[in-house]
Amino acid sequence: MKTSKIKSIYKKEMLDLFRDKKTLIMMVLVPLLLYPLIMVVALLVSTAVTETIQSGSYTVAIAEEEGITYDKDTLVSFIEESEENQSYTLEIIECDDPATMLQEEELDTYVTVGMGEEKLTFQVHYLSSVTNSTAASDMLMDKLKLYREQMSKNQLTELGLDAEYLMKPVELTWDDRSSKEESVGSILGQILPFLLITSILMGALYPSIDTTTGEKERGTLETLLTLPVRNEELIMGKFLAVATVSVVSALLNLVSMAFMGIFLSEMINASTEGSMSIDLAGFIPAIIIVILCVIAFALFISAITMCVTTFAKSFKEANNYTTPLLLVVMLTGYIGFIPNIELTPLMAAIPVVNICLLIGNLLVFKYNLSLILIVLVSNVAYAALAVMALSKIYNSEDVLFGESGISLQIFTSRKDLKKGGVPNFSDAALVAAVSMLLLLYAGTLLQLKFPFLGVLWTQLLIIAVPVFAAWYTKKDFKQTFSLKVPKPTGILGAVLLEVGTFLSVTMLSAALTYIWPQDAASVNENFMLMLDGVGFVPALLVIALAPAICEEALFRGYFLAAAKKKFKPWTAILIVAAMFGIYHMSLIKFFTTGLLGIALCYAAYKSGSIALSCLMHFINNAFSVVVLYYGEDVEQLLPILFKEDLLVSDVLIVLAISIVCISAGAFLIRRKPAPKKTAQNK
Amino acid sequence: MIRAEHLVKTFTKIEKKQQKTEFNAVNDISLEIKEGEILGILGPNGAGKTTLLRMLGKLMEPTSGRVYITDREGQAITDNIEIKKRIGYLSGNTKLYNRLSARELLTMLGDIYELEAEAVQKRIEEIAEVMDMTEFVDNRIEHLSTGQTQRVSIARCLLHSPDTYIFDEPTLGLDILSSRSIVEFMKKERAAGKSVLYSTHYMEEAEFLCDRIIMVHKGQIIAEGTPEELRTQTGTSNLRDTFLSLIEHQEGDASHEDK
Repeated sequence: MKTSKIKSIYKKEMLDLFRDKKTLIMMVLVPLLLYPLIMVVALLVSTAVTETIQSGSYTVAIAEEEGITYDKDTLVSFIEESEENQSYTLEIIECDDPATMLQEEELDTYVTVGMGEEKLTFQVHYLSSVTNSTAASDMLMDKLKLYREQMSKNQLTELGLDAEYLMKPVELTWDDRSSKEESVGSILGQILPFLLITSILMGALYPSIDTTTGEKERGTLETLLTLPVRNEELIMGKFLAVATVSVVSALLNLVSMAFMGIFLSEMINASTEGSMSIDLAGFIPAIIIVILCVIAFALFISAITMCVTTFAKSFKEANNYTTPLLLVVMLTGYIGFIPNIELTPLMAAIPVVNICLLIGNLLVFKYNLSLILIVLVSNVAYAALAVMALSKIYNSEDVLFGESGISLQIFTSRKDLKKGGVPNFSDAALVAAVSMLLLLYAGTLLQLKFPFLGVLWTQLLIIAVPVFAAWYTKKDFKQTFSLKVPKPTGILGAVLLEVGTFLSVTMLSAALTYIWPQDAASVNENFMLMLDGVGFVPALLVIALAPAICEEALFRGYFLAAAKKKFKPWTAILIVAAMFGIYHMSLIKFFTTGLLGIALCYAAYKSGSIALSCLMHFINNAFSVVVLYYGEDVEQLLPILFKEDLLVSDVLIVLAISIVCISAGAFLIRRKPAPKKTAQNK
Repeated sequence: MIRAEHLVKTFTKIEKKQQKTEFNAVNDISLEIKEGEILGILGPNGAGKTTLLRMLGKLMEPTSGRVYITDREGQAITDNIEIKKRIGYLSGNTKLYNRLSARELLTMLGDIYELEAEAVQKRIEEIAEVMDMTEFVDNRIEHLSTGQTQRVSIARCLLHSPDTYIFDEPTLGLDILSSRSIVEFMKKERAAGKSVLYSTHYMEEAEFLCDRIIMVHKGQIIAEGTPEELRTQTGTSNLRDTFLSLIEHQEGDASHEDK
C-alpha cells in the first residue's frame, strides 16, 4: 500500500463529498440546528403543558350516600380554598347525576362520600383518558388528604394528645451526596451515548452510500478501476474519507450539545442565583476520552456501513440495506438507558454496547484505564477487520459488475422452478430465520402450555419448515437431506466420534460453567422441571429421538446441503455448527452445542449420510436422559464426569481419550470403500 | 506492446427459471497489438467485446489465460498496477466525477499516476491547449456539455502519456462532431507510434480507421486480418457484409454439427 495513493484517493473523496450540498446539510446544519430546536421545542411544550394544567380551573362535584354524617363544611372549604403556591382552582358544582356529567366531560372529577365498616370512605371518580380529569382528580385527592389529616388532628386533640407530634413522630429529610457534576453526568450518561451513536451512524451513512453505491450508480467506478491503484489503497482512501465525515459530524453534534448544555445551565444559574452552578472544567478529562471513543466508534461504524452499502446498486437499494443496520445499532444503543448494567471486560469487547457503557461511566467520573483501552482497541480492531472484509468484497467482480443479487426460490412461482438439485444458500438462510422465529414464538408458547409434549410439537415444527421449503422448490430430497444408507464402518466411526466429542463437550461445559455459573444452573433446572413425572421411555423418545431426526433434518440436511454448495467444506461446517449453537439460545450452549455441531456436520458431510449424525445426536441426548433417570448408576460407572473439582490430570486424561476417539471416529467415517468394491459396483 | 494469451472468462448466469448456468463470455482469445497500429475489435452486442477489453485493461481478472505488456527492452510486465500505468482506458460507460472540475480531476489522477506535481500542471495546460479545453478546464464537469465532457474523458486517458490505448465503443451514442474528435485523436496517436485497441459495432467507422480487425462472435475470434484481407476472404465489398457472411457461415457449421 502506498500512502501517497491513499492520500490522493482520500483528497478526491473529500472534495467530492464536500461539493455535495447534501453532505454539508447532514453534517453541519442538522447537528447545529437540531439539538437547540429539540430542546427549545421540548421546553416550550412541557412548560406550556404544565402551566395550563397547573393554573387551570376545574369543576368538581360531591355525591353523598344517604344518611351520612360528616363535616361537609370543612370539606367544602378545603376544596375551594387555595393554599399558598397553588395556582389552580377547584369549583364545586351541584348536580344530580355526576357520573353522566363526568362521561360527557361536563365535570372534571367527583368524589362519593360513603360509609364503610366504621370508617368514612371517599372515592374519587375520574377519566384516565382525559388529561384535565386526571389532573383534577389528583388535585381533589390532595384536598381529601388534607381533610383526613385535619380529622386525625381533631380527634387526637380531643383525646388531649400532642397532635403535631403524633402525626409526624419522626422527621424525614433528604441529602444528596452526589456532586452536582456527578448527578448531571449520570443524566447525560443515559442520553448522550444514544445521541452520539445515532449521530455518528447518521453521519457515516450518507458518505458511505455516496462513495460506494454512488460511484456505481454514477458510472465512475469503471474510471476508478482503470487507474493504477490497488484495492486496499482505494478502500483505505474511501474509508478514511467516510470516517472523517462521520467523526466531524459527531464532533459537531457534541459541540452543539455542549453549547446547549452550557446555555441551559447558565439559564438555570441566572434564575436560581447560582445554587446549581456546575464546574464544567471537571468534565474535561471525560470529554477528551469521549472524543477518542467517538473517533474509534466512527471508524468502526464507517467500515461496517461501507460493507453493507457496497452490495447495493442504487441509492434506493442502499437505503433498504442500511435500515436493518440502523435499527440494530440504535436498539443496542438503548442499553445506555438500562440502569445497573456494568461495564465488564466482556462487555467492553462488544461493539456499540461498549461505547454506550463507557461514555456513561466516564460522565460519572469512573475511569478504568484497562476498560477504556479494551473499548478503544476492540473498536479499532473491529474496524480493521471490517476494512479487510471490505477490500475482499470490493475485489469481487460479481459485486461490482455482476447482476447476481440475492435470489430466493421460495418467492418464485412453483411452476417456474426446475426439479432437482439442492437448495441455495439464500433460501436456506430464510428457512433458518423462519425456524428460529417459530422456535422463539410458537416453541416457547407450546412448551409453556404443554411442558413435556410441547418439545415434541416444537420439533415437528422444526422439521416442517425445511421439508415444506424443499418440497415447494422441488428439490431432490435424497440429496437435500443426505438420505443414504451408511456403511457399517461409518456407524462404528460415528459412535466413536460421538463419544470423543461428548467427552470434550463435557470438559468445555465444565470450563464455561466456571465462567458463567448462573447460566448453567438455569438450564439444568428447566430440564428437571420439564421431565417431572414423565416415564423413561417417553422421555427418551421426545428428548432424544425427536431432535435426532428433526433438528438433523434442518441443520445437517437442508442447511448443510445449501452451505456446502456455496462455501468451502470447513467454512460450511463452521457456519452450520454456529447456527446450531445460536439456535440453542444460551450463552454456554452456544459453545457446547456449537462444538457438537461441528462433529455432527463432519459426520454427515464426510459420509454423505444423515443417518450418522442422527445416530450421534441420539446418543448425545439419550445420555442426558439416562443420567437424569439413572444418575447414580452412571456416576458409579463413570465417576470422572460427575466430579465437582476436576484436577488438571483428570482433564488431560479425559481430553486424551476424547482426542483418540475423535481421530479414530473421523478416520472410520472418512474411509473410502476398498477400490475392488467400487469396480464391482460399476 | 500488449499481448493476451488464451483468455477465458466464465460468468454464472441466472436464468428465468432460477437455474444457474455457466457460460464463457470470452472463450479462448489470444491477440497482440503492435506499436503504431489501430486494432479494431468488431462484433455484435453480447459478443464479449467489453469483457475482453476489461480483461486487457486489468479491470477484470480472466478465469484462465494471461495478459502482459512487453516494454521497449522486450521485458514482460505482468503486474496489474504496472500494466494499468501504461494503458489509457476509455469506454462509453466510464463517467467522470461531476462535482470536480477538469483540472481537479486531472490533478488527482496525476497524483495517482505518481507524476510530479509541477509536471502535471504543465501537462494539463498542454492537453487543454490541444483538446481545446482552456475555457472550461476550471468549470465543474456537471456544467459541461456532452462534447466537452467527452474531451475531458480523452484528456484523462492522455494525462500519463500511455503507450497503449484501449477504447471500448468510445463513439457509442455520440454526435458526428464528438465522435469525429475521438477518431481524429486515435489517428494522431497512431501517427505518434502508439498502439490503439478499439472496439465498436460501427462497421463503417472501423473500415476506414483500423489497420487490422478482429471479428468476435460468441466469445471467439471468427476472423482476423486487414479490412482488405477480410473482404477478399469472404468475397464481399464492405465489412458489414463480411461480418454477416462470416456469421452465417459459422451458424451453418454449428447446425451441421448439431445434426
